[in-house]
Amino acid sequence: MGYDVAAIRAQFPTLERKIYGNKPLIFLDSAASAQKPRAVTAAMTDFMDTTYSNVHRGIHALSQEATDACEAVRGKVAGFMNADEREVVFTKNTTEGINLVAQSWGRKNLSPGDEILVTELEHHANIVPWQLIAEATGAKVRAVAVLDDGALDMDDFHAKLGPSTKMVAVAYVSNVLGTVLPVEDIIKAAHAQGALVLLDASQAVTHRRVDVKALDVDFLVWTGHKLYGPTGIGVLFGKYDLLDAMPPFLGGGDMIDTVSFQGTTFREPPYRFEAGTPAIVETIGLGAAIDWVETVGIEAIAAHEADLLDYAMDQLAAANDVTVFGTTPTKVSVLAFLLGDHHAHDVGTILDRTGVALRVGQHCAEPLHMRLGVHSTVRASFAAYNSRADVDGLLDGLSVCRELLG
Amino acid sequence: MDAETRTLFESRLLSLAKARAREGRLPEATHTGAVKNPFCGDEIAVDVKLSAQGAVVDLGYEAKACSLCVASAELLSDWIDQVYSQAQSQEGGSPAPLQPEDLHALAQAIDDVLKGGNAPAPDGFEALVSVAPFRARHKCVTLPFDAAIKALEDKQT
Repeated sequence: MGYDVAAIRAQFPTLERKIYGNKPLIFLDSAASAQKPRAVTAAMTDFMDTTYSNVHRGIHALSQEATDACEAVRGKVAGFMNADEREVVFTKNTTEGINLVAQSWGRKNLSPGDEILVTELEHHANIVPWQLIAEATGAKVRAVAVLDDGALDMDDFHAKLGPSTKMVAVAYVSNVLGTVLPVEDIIKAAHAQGALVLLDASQAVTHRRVDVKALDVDFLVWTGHKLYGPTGIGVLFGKYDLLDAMPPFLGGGDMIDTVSFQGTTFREPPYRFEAGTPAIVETIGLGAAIDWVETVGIEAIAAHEADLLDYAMDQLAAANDVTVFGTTPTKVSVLAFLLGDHHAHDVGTILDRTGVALRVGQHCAEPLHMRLGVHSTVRASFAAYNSRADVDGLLDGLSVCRELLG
Repeated sequence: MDAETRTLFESRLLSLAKARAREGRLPEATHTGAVKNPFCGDEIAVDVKLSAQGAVVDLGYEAKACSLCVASAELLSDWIDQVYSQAQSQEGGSPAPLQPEDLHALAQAIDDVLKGGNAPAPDGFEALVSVAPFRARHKCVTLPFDAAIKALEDKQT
């Protein structure tokens, strides 16, 4: 049987909602955060009802069960991206993962004159942490240019990559354009220069199989809430030897070996980087989300989303007043556009009232919008539960925008 | 489409924003303030000209912003023009020239209108009532006022 989007949708209660009276919700904002299937909320509720306790070091049965459940999720995450369990650090979100690497690895390894290479299409979360550590260490942040079609300018990348480059921190997939970056080439070139690579895979893990071993990537970060899981739980992958050589990011309980006023020693990775009580219930939710994605099949989801993207791109191309940003062939189902010369917020407000929920603004990517020469964009993003009818709803909403905005 | 949305986008706000009739910086500005809405990236710079006696006599602006923000700036600029003209035409200096604190009071009154307060909209700003149901757009309307107040709080240019 083919991809049964109706059966998928039925697993997401939020999608049954009506808004503004009787309008069906058309949710096209999954790149910001995805809706949650019942399997995820049920797993979290069941865990709280039956097993909840603090984890690690507990002597009682509940604590041991909760610890086992959370550590099982670590294994599940490792399997999901082909990593070793010891290389999976639980974080709060992608932003925290990048800050962790910037502060921990960066403080130890960056010096004046060193360079961190990012790109013009990065989310602010993959710019600002590097600016902060650059300021603290005397290193410099440089940005690789983006071409007009949203592709990375690889000539500029190779021109800027050099012996001074110590870290290449790039998005796997642009959160605005949906562009899939040639990360295999980037990693090989960076390693040839002796630089490490961090991939922001927030928008990648939801749309394609990510294999850290095949990529040979050094660090890779993503977040649970975009993968149909809860907020408050993210993942940092780091090659074990790199993690083992890094000092702690945050200090506190659980991450220590011994504590004394003569000196404190720290645990091995990944626990060294998980100070304090973790997001226990959210970890369980993340595990359920991965199970859900694997059951549907990430490849099946990707194929379905690609069909929606093609359909939407064709429909928008047929309208002569829509400008789509990001037109590379290697693109996932994230679609930024403008309607005529209308401000994205005016379009977004009207679409909202037609039942279409999407994102407007700069999507935490101000430098990219400056590069594109636009102030803001409208962003529709398609996930496992979206259908062609949702795309049609967007097109109908744009017709209303034309009527009201002139 | 629902009545609230039609009212908003069929109000004079959209035509004001399209015309941008009053947009422009003031060469003789005494105070300047620029603000940005970090949620959408909209930016507006407001120039204010105070007389030697400290009264507000003119306001200019330049915006990279949505229709509601531009319309709000247009209304504000027009309002100052009208109040100043009335003050000029009155014998005996009455009504009193517009003072900076009047701008603060106006900004507060607009904020109250957006939040659905009972007080009527100030004269000249009636069209902004249609923005009240759209909470996510309130900041668009208040941004020019924020810039004007920032200008007055800053040192003279």
